[in-house]
Amino acid sequence: MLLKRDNSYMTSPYITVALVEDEPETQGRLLLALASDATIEVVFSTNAAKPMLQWLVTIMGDPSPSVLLVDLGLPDQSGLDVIRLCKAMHPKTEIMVITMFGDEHNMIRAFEAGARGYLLKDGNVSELSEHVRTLHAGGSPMSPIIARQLLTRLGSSSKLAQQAALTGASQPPSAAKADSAGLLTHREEQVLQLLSRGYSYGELAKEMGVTINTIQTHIRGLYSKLEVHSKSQAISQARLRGFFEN
Amino acid sequence: MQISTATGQTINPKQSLPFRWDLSFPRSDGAAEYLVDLPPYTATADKIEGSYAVFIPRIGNQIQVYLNGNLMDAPNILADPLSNNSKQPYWLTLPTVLLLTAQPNRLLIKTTVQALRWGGMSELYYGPAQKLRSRYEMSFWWQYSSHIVIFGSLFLSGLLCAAIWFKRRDRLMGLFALSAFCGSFSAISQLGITSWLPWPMQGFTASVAFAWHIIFVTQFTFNFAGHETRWARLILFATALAIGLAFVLAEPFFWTLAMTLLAIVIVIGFIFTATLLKQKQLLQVKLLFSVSLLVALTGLRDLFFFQIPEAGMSHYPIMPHALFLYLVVMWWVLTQRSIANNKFGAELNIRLEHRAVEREQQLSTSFEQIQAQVEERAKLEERQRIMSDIHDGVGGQLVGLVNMIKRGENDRLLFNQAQLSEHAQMVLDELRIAVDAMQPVDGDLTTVLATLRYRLAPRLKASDVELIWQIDELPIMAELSPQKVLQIQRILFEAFTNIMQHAKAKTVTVRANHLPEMMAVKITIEDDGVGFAPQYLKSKGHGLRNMRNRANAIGALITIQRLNAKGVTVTLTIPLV
Repeated sequence: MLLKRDNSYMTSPYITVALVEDEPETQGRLLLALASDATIEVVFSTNAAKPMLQWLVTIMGDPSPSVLLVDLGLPDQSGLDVIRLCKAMHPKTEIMVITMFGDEHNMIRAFEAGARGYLLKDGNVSELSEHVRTLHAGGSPMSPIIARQLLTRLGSSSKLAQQAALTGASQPPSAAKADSAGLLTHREEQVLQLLSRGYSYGELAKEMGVTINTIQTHIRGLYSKLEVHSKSQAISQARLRGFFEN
Repeated sequence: MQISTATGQTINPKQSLPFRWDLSFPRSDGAAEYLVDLPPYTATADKIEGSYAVFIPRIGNQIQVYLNGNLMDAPNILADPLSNNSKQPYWLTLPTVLLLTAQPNRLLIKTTVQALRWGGMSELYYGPAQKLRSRYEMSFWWQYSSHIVIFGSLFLSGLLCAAIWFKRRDRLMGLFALSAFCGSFSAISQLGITSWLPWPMQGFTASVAFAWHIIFVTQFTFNFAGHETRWARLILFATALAIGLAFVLAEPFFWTLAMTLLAIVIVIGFIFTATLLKQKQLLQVKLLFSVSLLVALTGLRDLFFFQIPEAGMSHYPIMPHALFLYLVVMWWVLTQRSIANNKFGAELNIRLEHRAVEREQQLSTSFEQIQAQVEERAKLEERQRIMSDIHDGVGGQLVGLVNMIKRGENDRLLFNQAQLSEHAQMVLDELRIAVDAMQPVDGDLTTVLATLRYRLAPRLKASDVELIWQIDELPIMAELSPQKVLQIQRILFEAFTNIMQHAKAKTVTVRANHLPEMMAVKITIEDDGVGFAPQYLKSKGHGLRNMRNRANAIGALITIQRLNAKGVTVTLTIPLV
């Protein structure tokens, strides 16, 4: 089964896309942009979470969509639920959040739930399809602010301690270090450092003496770590709670 | 009965009892012998009534008693002024064996007397001891035992009030203590046969104590009602002087004068309490009036029956007892006042507590109001800032775009699609920058620069300008407010726009360095284009001025240099503190 599905996925000539977006205008624009690209095929489009969840269940056993585009602010249910279900049922599907500038906090939550990229609502047509294609090819974009937040959550740089001291964070720097130390490899930390300073993937590859593909692999690994980290944190917290209750 | 004096003077042998020495021999000491023939003792009487006794309510000052020539009792040494028998009743049980049955029994009492010491002898009672005893005991109680009680209570309450006065300097407490001490001293002088002071001194101190006791009590009453008592000192002095003169000169006139002064004080005190009672029908005043009346009555009684020499010897003073009652009432009055004070204090405390709570609420309310105002003002300022940002940035750009389109319509000077699209893209970028500036950056200028590049990346890519990006890890800036972020972004955005639109540059180099010795961060944007294009200077002349103004607004230094017609270098130096 698994082999068969993987084969069908690999052999599909199109990048299949499923879309959930409640704003009709944005939805229309996205559909237009995706339709303009011959390599992209929209297989399902809806304006609410429930139909999308149903559809994701219905297509179990069929080939998974290559890319799922999710708006977080849906009227009936959170887009995060859609991301989690898709991640559980269709692990091969690349998930992208439809978002706007300045919403990095929600983006991080979406990444923790399993999203691997984001699409800007106000991006132009060529940008949109470009993004979808890049994601499908294995490249997830990462903005400097997100890189910085990942460093804060997973890394152990001295600048973090500086920041914690400046912002008066409740957690002392040493404790933050102990909590997240070892979560990032030296390379990953280097990637995040350079990204947060505004360097492009190409510049990173040159600087680190590796290919862009390697950088993209690192980025994917980082997103996964964020997801795993958030899950393990949730589990350890649940355990802790259970321990105290017992 | 026969009375003879030491100076050889004789008085009327028929002088009957009571005999008062000071009336017969004023101003002089002396000795007297009393010879009394008691009826023969009968055996039948013995059987029925037991032994016989002699009871003399008052006799003084020093005595020796003989029965039928036998010395029966010598409580004092004759002529010794340290000893005095006149302050307590005298009792002598006569031995039956010594009593004669056939003839009268001769009782001889030898006495020595000091002037003004109530020397003399009251009436004498002779009879069965059983019958006389109760009368003696009654007299003993009034003249002796009651004075012990008075002394004890007054002394202790005086001590207590003196202690309170010492702590609080409460005038009423002080007066009470003074009158109590004077009263207790007066009472103890009444006790015992032997005194600790030689005679005139002892008489003087005891009398002054008694007089002052009365004056202080009166003063207390006046002060209790809230009246001044400046006269009290004068009276205190006057009575002490009169008593002193009476004893030094052994002159009964001065004694009578002192007693008259006291009588006046007592009467004034009584009248005062009477007027008080008229004004206020309080229980305290009623009690004060009652005891004052009692003191006045007993005082007058004592004056006529005891104090003045003419009063004779049969009575003993009872005013000290009335005064004692007065002090009990004073004590009660003080207690009531203290309770009222405590109640008042407690009420005051509660009221103050309420006031404090109210005040605290007012303060916290006004604090909240002030805080709300501050927050409101901050919000307003922030709103105004955002409004002016949108207006200046996005608004300005949109107006430009609209104008381009309109001009195209009117003048048939059509802008091509690319030009309009580029301008619209600029509006969008402007909007993105404004939104970015509102993100919390935690003082991280590096991320601010990185985000700017990230936003501009698609346009840079489209414009075929190669970007060389050399950003160091910059230190955290403590005061990196959204306003500052926006100004920095705008300055850099302006510089980029200039390069992309007019400079015709091939490469742009962006550098950011930390200058620790200058406590600053230096950002340099260098291009290899044509420098300031004339049309740029013409159409966008305010662009450079804007950059300078923005730099000034955040306390940064900006330099714009043209290097040998080979591009422009914009340097922005931002202080870290």
